[in-house]
This record gives sequence, C-alpha cells and structure tokens, in this order.
Amino acid sequence: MYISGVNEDIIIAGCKKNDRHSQELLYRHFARKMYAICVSYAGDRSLAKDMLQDAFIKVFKNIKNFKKDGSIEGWIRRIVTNTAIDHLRRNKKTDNYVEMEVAGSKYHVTNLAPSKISFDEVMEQVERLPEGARIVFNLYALDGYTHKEIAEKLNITEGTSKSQFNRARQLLMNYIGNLNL
Amino acid sequence: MDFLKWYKNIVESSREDPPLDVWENIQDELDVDMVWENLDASLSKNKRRVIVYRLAAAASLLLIIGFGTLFLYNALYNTVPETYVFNTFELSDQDTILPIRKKESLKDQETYFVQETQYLETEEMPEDFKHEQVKPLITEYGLEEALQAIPRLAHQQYLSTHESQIVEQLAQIYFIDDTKEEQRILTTGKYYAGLTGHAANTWLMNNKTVQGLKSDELTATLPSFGYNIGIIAGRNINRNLSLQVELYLISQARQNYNEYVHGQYVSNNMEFNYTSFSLVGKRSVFNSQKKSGNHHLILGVYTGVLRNAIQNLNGTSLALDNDYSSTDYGVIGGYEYTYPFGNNLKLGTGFQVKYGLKNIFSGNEYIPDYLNNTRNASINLTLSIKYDLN
Repeated sequence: MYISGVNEDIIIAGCKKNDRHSQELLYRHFARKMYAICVSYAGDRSLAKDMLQDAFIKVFKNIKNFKKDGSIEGWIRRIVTNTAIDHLRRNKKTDNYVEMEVAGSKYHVTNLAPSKISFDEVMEQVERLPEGARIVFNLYALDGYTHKEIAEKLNITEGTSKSQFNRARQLLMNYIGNLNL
Repeated sequence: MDFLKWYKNIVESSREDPPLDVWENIQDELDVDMVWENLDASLSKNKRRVIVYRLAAAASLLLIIGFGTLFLYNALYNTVPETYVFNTFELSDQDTILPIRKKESLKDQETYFVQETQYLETEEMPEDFKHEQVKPLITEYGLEEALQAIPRLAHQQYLSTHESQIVEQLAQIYFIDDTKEEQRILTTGKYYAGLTGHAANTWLMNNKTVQGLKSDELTATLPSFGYNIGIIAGRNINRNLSLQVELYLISQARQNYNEYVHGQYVSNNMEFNYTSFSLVGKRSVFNSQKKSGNHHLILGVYTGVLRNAIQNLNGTSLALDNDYSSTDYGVIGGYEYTYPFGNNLKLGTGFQVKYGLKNIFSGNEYIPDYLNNTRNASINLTLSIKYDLN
C-alpha cells in the first residue's frame, strides 16, 4: 500500500525512527477518516479534536510496537476508538443511555436511508443521541464490534448493548427521516 | 441501502479536514516527549557510566590491594631469590658434586660448609685453599673475580676440576652468608626523613574538561600546573621495601579554561588548595650490586583536606568552597630513582600519578553533584632529599 506515493512500510519505518516527515505523511493520510470517527463518537468537534490529537500521539508513541500482522489503518482505528471512549469515560458520559419508553413510543422508525444528506447534517443528528447510546451505536455500526464485545468494553450487559443499539438506530433514523420531510 | 452501511459510508467518506492546530499540537507533544526521552537516555547513560567507573575503580582497588599484599609478602619473606643461593654448574657427573640446595638456612649452610671442608681436608687440599682461606680470598679479589679466580687458582695449585668446583660453591656459600648479614645490617630498621617537592600537571576530571579538549567546543581546556611541597619520613623494612609517609602542607589542583560567559570569551581559572597526606610503599626494582643508585616502584594512597577553592573569572575571584567537598582521597602510582651522596643523604627524583576516587563536586542550588562528577588527577614530577637517621 502506498501513502502519498510512498510505500507504507517505509513510512512506518520512518515513524518508528521518530522521523517527523514520515509522521506527518501518516497523519495527513488518515486524519480525515479518523477525525470523522472522532466526531461521530464525540458529538461535537471540539471534543473530537482533542480525541484525534491524543489518539495520534498514542499512535506515534506506540508505533514501535506495531507488527505487520494487520493493517496499519485497523491498528490506528482501534487506538482512535479506544481514545474516544476513554475521553467520554473521563467526562462520565458513557452511562447516558436512551430511556426505552421515549425511544420506542414517540418516534417513527424507517428503514430507508436518505440519500442527499451531508456528513455535517448527519453528525448534527448523531449529536442529539445520548452519549452512551451513541457509543454503542458507533461501536456496532462503524467498528463492527459484537454486542458481547461492546458489553465487555463498556462494562454493561449484552442485553443493554442490544437494546441501546436498537433504540439509538431508531432515534437516528427518525431524526434523519425527519430531515427529508 | 441498509441504514448502517449508509451511516458507515457517510462517516468514512467525510472530506472534512481536522483543524490545522491538531497536527501542530501533536508535533509539540512529540517534541516534548523526545526531549524527555533524550534526557532520560542521557541520564541512564550517565548512570551506566558511573556504575562502570565505580566497578572499574573497585576492580583497580582490589588489584592494587592484591598486588600490594603480594608485593609486601615477597619483600618481607623472600628477600633473596632462590636462584641467588646457588649458581648451577654444567657438570657431567651430578653425583660427584655438591647437590644443588635451595632455601637452606644459614645454620644448615654452615654445617654443610664445615662438612665439605672436612672432606677437602681429607683429600689433602693445599693449605691455601682450606676453608679459612676462602673468605679472605673473596675479600681480596672481590666477589665476582674471586668466584672466577678461585677454581682456576685452585686447579693451578694441584686441585682437581671437581675439587675446584667444590671450592667455588663454598665461596658462594660464604658470599651469600656474608652478603645476607651485610644486607641485614645495612637496610633493616633504618629510618629516614626529608623534604619533597612536586611540579604537578593537574586536571579536574569532569565532563567540561573532557569536552573542552575537543577542538570544535566553545570551551577550551588549557594545561594547568601547580606544585606540592611537603615533608617525608620513612622506614626501610628490608633491602627491597620501604614505607614512606608524606605530608604536603601545600598541595595544589588547578584547572584553566577559556570559555564564553555572558557573551564574552574569558579565562576561567580554578584553584583548589589542599593539605594532603600520603602513605606509599616503595619496592626496589632493577637494582644491581655494582651501582649505588636505586630504582623504586611506588604504590600508595592519599587523602586531602580542602583549605580553599577559588575561581578566577577574568580577574574576578569567587570562593567555591561551598560547591566542593572538603575532603578528597585517591590512589598513587609512580617511580623514583634515589642516589646517595655524602654519608647519609640521598637524592630522589621520579614521577607520581595521582587519581582521586571521590567526586569532589558536592553540588549547588543549580546543579546536583551527580551531574558534574569531578575528580582530581595529576601527574607529578618529584624531587626529594632524604637523610638517613641511623
């Protein structure tokens, strides 16, 4: 794989030697995608910025331990996700979940994904989700964790993970559906 | 499209750049981290270096003590090497000559001498070569000439080769007895005292001094000289070994630099004045019976008390007493050649190398002691005059 026209292995080797140019190439290559993930977890851009910054510092400090048994993107992404959760934990926002009655009774559920909606508009709706539910939803939808893994990661029951995910999805679909009206 | 796939796609295909200062903050953080890592690595390296130095110093000390002990033991108990007792002769019939006997006591040798002389008498040896004639012959001819002359003379005067060789061996026994006794009288229990002075090339062994020797450094380390003046007293333990104490009323350690201070290139002269005390063992080496002078190897230890420490920075003096330890100690190695003149006087000259084992920098409010590890070192040209007291 090539990053900005340079072989990925060369860039990783440079990062392992603390070469600033290699570090910048790696950062620039993944910054947008990782920032978007941070925004989807944080709900606001200020917190997302801190998450991204901390995550990449961890990446560069720990890249010596990176082994070529997986993709560099997957490795960076795990660090970004864990850093995001740590930030939200630190702010004690992970225990803010959706109340079942509210989610189930008041909103219309649709399976149709709207087409011409921007990232910003989606994030505005994601921001409306309670933080706990937002993390469960993102872990499942963006990072592909199972409910069992989410339960272990967030120290909740598997059932809570499932129900929070369903409610979060229903709420988000409803919010986004209303944008199309 | 499935909602989850759509959501994932819209997040991952975002074209929104993070704020510019994120990368700047990351760089700052990494820079700080790198500085700490370098500092930590440097301190660890220094710690490792200190450990190595300490181990080397301990090993050197053990070696010095070990060799010193051996040196003392040999000097005290083996003053005459075994090979010196008898010369060997290349004779064809080993059974017919006197057996090679080593480490004989004087008494044994006397008995041996009497027995063999009696043997010679029974062989009707001419009167001139009887045992009571041997010693006067040595005295008359001198040792080496006598040893060569006796067999030849004996042979010329009717002795067989075999008998001549016996006479030669007897002469050597006499010589050894005589010499040992002479040596005992000459050397054991003799005391001496005198004055000594050193011209010293002194060094403050620390990182600044070492770095200053490099041509590309702004600080330049300059050769520095001092002097030591003191009194000495000693005792000859035996012919090969003597112990000597040295009290230096003036003992200087200096180090000069040229360096940039507050934007100016100035001279920085540091001077440490000690009163020091040394205890050294002196072992005779390479000495010959024919020559009057003696060569000595020197090993010992020293300790010193700092009287004052002064820094002269471009003409301005500053007391450094609080920054430096009030004591110092270390090891001494060296060489001395002594030459007698007059009845009881000896002149000695040589060199001594001194190396401090203590970090004399005790630290100040800015620099802890371990970051400026400093030791005294010097190479001293020595001159001394000694008077034998008995």
